Amino acid sequence: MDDAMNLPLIEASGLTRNYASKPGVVAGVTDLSLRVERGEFVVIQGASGSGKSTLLMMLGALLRAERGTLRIDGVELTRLSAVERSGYRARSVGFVFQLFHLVPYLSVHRNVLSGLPPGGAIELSEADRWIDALGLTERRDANPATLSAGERQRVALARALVKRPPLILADEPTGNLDPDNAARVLEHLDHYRRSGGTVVLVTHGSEANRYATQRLRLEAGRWAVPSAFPLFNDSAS
Amino acid sequence: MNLTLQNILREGWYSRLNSALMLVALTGAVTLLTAVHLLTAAAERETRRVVRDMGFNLRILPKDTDPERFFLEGYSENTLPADTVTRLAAGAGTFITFNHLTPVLERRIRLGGHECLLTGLGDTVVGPGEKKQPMGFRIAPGTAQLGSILAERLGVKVGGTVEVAGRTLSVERVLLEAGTDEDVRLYTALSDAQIALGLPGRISEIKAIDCLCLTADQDPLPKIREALSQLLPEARVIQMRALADARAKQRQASERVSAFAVPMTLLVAAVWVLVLAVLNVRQRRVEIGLWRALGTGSSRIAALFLGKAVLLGGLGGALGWTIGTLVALRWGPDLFPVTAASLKMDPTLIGPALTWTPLFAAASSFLPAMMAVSQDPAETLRADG
Repeated sequence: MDDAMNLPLIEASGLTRNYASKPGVVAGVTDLSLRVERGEFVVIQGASGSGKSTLLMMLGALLRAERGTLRIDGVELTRLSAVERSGYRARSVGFVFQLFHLVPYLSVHRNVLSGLPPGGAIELSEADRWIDALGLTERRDANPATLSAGERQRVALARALVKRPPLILADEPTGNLDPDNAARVLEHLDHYRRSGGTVVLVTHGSEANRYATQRLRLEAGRWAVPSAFPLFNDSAS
Repeated sequence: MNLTLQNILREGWYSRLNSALMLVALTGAVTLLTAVHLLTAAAERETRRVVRDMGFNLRILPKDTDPERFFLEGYSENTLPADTVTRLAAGAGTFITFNHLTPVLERRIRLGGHECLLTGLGDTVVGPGEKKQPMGFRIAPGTAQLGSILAERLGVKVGGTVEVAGRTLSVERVLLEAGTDEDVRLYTALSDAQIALGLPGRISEIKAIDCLCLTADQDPLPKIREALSQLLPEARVIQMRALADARAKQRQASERVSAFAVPMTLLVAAVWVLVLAVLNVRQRRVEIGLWRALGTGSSRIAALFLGKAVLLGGLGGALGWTIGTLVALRWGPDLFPVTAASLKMDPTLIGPALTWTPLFAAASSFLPAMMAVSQDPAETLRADG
């Protein structure tokens, strides 16, 4: 167990995944390598269509790599069956999306509960703890449609954090937020990282740079500098 | 209540329009099927009664009856023992081919200076489990019913009497003008006719209805004759083909209506539910992707859709049975006035409605549920890039 904890959380090599994003346009990522230690806050930047989201979906086992290896928390994702990948996501990954993706017919509390893995390994009261921690106490029973954008993203964050996963994957989490709310969400993610979690965040913008321990840039599905190592290593402390 | 069920209920309420339309489809289908079932049964009863009122279409005669004399006189001059009818009724498979077995004794007699046809009618024997309903009319011993022309010639009205071979019979009824030889008939009980004619314990024929209900182009007569030759070798049968054919065609028309209505109703409801389920899946693409991202397995995602269909199916089954029954009870009597009293609620339909409707809804939603399960979450969840 100790040996496993000393290993990098993410180790990827030669990751390749192409798909037709639009008729005649092939997008994706090619031959990417990546190494992320536990407790890092990795910011991946790039223009639209550069492959950021594709990489994130592969790290979350929502997309299968066509080539290459991807080991996360000691598990080789490329070899997992569909059922095993579901189990991996339920236990080990929390997602935060740009468009929040809250379940529209569930209250704030139930949306947060939906982030818990099946099996009852985590107390249901954790949901309330995160609702309180993210300043949503008074909105506990509200419907997502009545929430502000910032509140919705904090609900999505609570849903991702409630199971205390080793890895949070955030896809443009501040893209629909005003600067204040964006800063608040990033603060929460950084707080999670400082408590031992790992964050991989993809974004167009630069507002997350100050939290990054590792910054990478994707261009047309490849690292801007062909290397498995960080392009920018001006980690925040 | 588990989370999946809670989510189904909450989503059902959230997507009220979709749920309501799906419920309408299922309720409508069960309403139609229940009403069609009850009304078809009523239509069959009505048809049976109407064709029964058309009269007998089979005449079972003594084998040695001379056909020429029979058609010239209108009855057989030969006779059979009266217990022939009970022997025929007791035969194996009799009621597959024959029903409403009615012993008859007929002769031409003179009455009050006028020639008429004396027809003695015995009790009708019907198949096991059927209600004993006389064909045409039942005549009590000591009474008579007169055809319209005969009554006019004799100057007799209801409440009057007629003298038949020294016996006085009270006139219970004068029949409406039929435009047939019925207008010159004197109907009595079989026993009275036997005494009057000096033929105790004898009958001249057994009138019956053929139950095969084949049409003329299917030529049922050979089958009827074959059946009778085994059941009653001492008799022969004559079929009044036009009458039998009309009866069979009316019954088959009724069966064709239900044979068309039931599958069409099911087809329309299935397509309706399928389309709504597909729309539901399309509307919930992001939600499905999200459940995937949260690690929810395929079976639980499919359960969200199939569970909704099953719940709506159960509700639709109950509502449909209730509404269908109310519709049939409200309008059925207007459609089938002759047998209106027989139209009743059928509680045996509740079980199938509550069992088959959820299964039907689930089957109709199966493809959309599979669409949901096989959807690529990465496509719906990605921001861009």
